[in-house]
Amino acid sequence: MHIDARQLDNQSVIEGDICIIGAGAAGISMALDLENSAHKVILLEGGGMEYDDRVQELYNGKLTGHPYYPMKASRLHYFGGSTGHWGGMCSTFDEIDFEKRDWVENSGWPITLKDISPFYPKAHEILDLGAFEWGAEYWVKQNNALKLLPLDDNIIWSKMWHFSPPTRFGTKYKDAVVNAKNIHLYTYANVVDIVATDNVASIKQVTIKNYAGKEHTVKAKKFVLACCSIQTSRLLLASNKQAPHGLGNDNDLVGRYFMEHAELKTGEMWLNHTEPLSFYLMGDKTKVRAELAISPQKQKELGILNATVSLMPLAMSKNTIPSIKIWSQDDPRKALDTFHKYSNLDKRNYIQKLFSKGFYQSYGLYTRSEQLPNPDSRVVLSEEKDELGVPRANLHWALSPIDKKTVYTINKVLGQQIGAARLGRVKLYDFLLNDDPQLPDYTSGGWHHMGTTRMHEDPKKGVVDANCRIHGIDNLYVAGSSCYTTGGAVNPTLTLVAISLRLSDHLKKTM
Amino acid sequence: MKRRTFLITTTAALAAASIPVARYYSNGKKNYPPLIMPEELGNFCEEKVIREIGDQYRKQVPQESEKAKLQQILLTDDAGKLTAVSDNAAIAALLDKKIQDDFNSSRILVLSGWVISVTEARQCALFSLT
Ligand SMILES: Cc1cc2nc3c(=O)[nH]c(=O)nc-3n(C[C@H](O)[C@H](O)[C@H](O)COP(=O)(O)OP(=O)(O)OC[C@H]3O[C@@H](n4cnc5c(N)ncnc54)[C@H](O)[C@@H]3O)c2cc1C
Repeated sequence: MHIDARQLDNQSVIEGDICIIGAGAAGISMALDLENSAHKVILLEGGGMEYDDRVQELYNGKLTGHPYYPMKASRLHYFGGSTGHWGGMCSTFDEIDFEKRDWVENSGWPITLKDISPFYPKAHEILDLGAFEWGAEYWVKQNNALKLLPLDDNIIWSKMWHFSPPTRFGTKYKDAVVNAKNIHLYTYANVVDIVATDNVASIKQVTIKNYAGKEHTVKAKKFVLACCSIQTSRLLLASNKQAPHGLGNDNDLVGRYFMEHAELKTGEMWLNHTEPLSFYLMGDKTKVRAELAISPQKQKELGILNATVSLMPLAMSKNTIPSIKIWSQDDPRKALDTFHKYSNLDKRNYIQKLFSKGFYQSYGLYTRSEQLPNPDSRVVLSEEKDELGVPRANLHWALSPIDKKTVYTINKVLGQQIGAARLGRVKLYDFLLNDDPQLPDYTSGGWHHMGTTRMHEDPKKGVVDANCRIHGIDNLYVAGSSCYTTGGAVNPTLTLVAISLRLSDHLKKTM
Repeated sequence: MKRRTFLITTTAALAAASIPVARYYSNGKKNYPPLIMPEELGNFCEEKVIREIGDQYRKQVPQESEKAKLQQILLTDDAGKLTAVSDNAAIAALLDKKIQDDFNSSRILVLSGWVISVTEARQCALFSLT
């Protein structure tokens, strides 16, 4: 059922069993996972079914720290959420990503990859990722044209990526959500306050508002915040009537440890002979590709974070501009148009078709690295309020010296491997060689928002527990990548859908 | 998309893909003896860069900044046997093995951005002294 909250009588009271706040990848995956259960699911979406600039404006805020995409343009505020713009690149986390690593401050989840793995197949299906095969050897066997680079797997290994079409949740899952008997979707239902009991041990209700001037109350047994990292932490911080520092924030952790991936061009790989490396390239027909990843042993030995390097024919790589320089308009639609114009995807496809077997001799190296969970990288409330009276969120993105060390080291190790395999030589770009301990300003993020309600068993070190429940509040949960303790080296959406499905499974078992 | 930008990129890509790398930078380059010109690296770098790498190496490792010292290290094999400076074929084989061993055991350096073997760096150093 779909109800536009603007059409309801003012001060309506909506009641259900589970209230999910936010209908993006996390919220919709959870709601559909709860379809046909005995629970009445209330799915609250702040926006409508289509882009609405007045709603999008609620995301506006200020940026400080490392340059980042405009707040209004880095997430979408309508049914389907940011999947309306996402690129669809997916890969799985590695075991090491969950471990406590002595050399990585603030690392260590209270869960392991084994806890998430059972939910990957379903997440994979939701994102239309094709065959659930994550081994590079499998894909090489499927197609003779695909060749693995002969590198030492214990040092640099070929990590698989799958490409979603990309699935737009707002179009693909609209009918399923609207037609589900037990899912009650409310659009234009912006949550502006979460109201707890007097002792702040549980949540009684949430308040929703829209710019039609209507205000309603939603009551449920359990509440799930699925608004993504920035908005989820903003809502917790702004809900400060009973808890002066915000809900779940007794230890000043909400909003902190905001993480992204550091993404940038880092060097060149020159080969002695033309090599058919189409397995490592993003082609118009390729539904999978491999990236060169640093092994867990090497991460430990060299004291670095997780990272991968992808390849692009050098002639193309030289023509690409850092995303941070292109995605600079406030309006996300304009930002996307400009991005497409500059990234010249048609042109890339054309050139790649021209050399359809992927025979090149020089490649640009593009590195994507995990970032250190840094408490100073954070979301804070602004003095300024949005149209609905909620303090805006400001973002301070902060990187750390180990981020640069990681980017330098993986490229150097790759150079060693390429040399040892007698394939050619690797050249690192100048910025990696200077004394500046920080990555350069043109380091882009991947629009991957993680952290701000990090998972840890100790309430002094994390906002949510291993079941994504906010410490100290018995019925308030968080779905999505804001729960990430560390961000891994890969794009977050596949894992955040898996972790959200794990949460809905937990709710089904405990309701 | 502007047709002009498109054509430029296409042409650049074509050029990069059709010239065998072995000749990409060595076009017009003199035929140097193997002792002073790292074979693979020389395919990718102009002489100016080889010289720059050599200068950097000599600065980093001042005890190896003399021609004689560099020659002696480069021409001596693991067993301590010295190869004659006139035997280019033997030198090429010896250096090839040394470079491979360097990469296998991570005896590598980053000079002028290039991830190279210590032996290659010494060859460049010798080149920079010629
Ligand atoms: C340009 C771009 C490219 C990307 N490419 C990739 C990629 O290739 N691979 C990858 O893995 N990820 C990618 N991402 C990231 C991906 O889109 C997100 O990880 C994913 O959408 C997050 O899902 P979510 O449900 O947590 O948040 P969202 O999808 O942002 O959904 C949050 C929902 O909550 C709603 N909401 C917010 N506040 C409130 C409120 N107060 N009340 C009610 N509702 C509210 C929003 O309207 C929205 O519908 C990309 C993102 C962008 C912008």
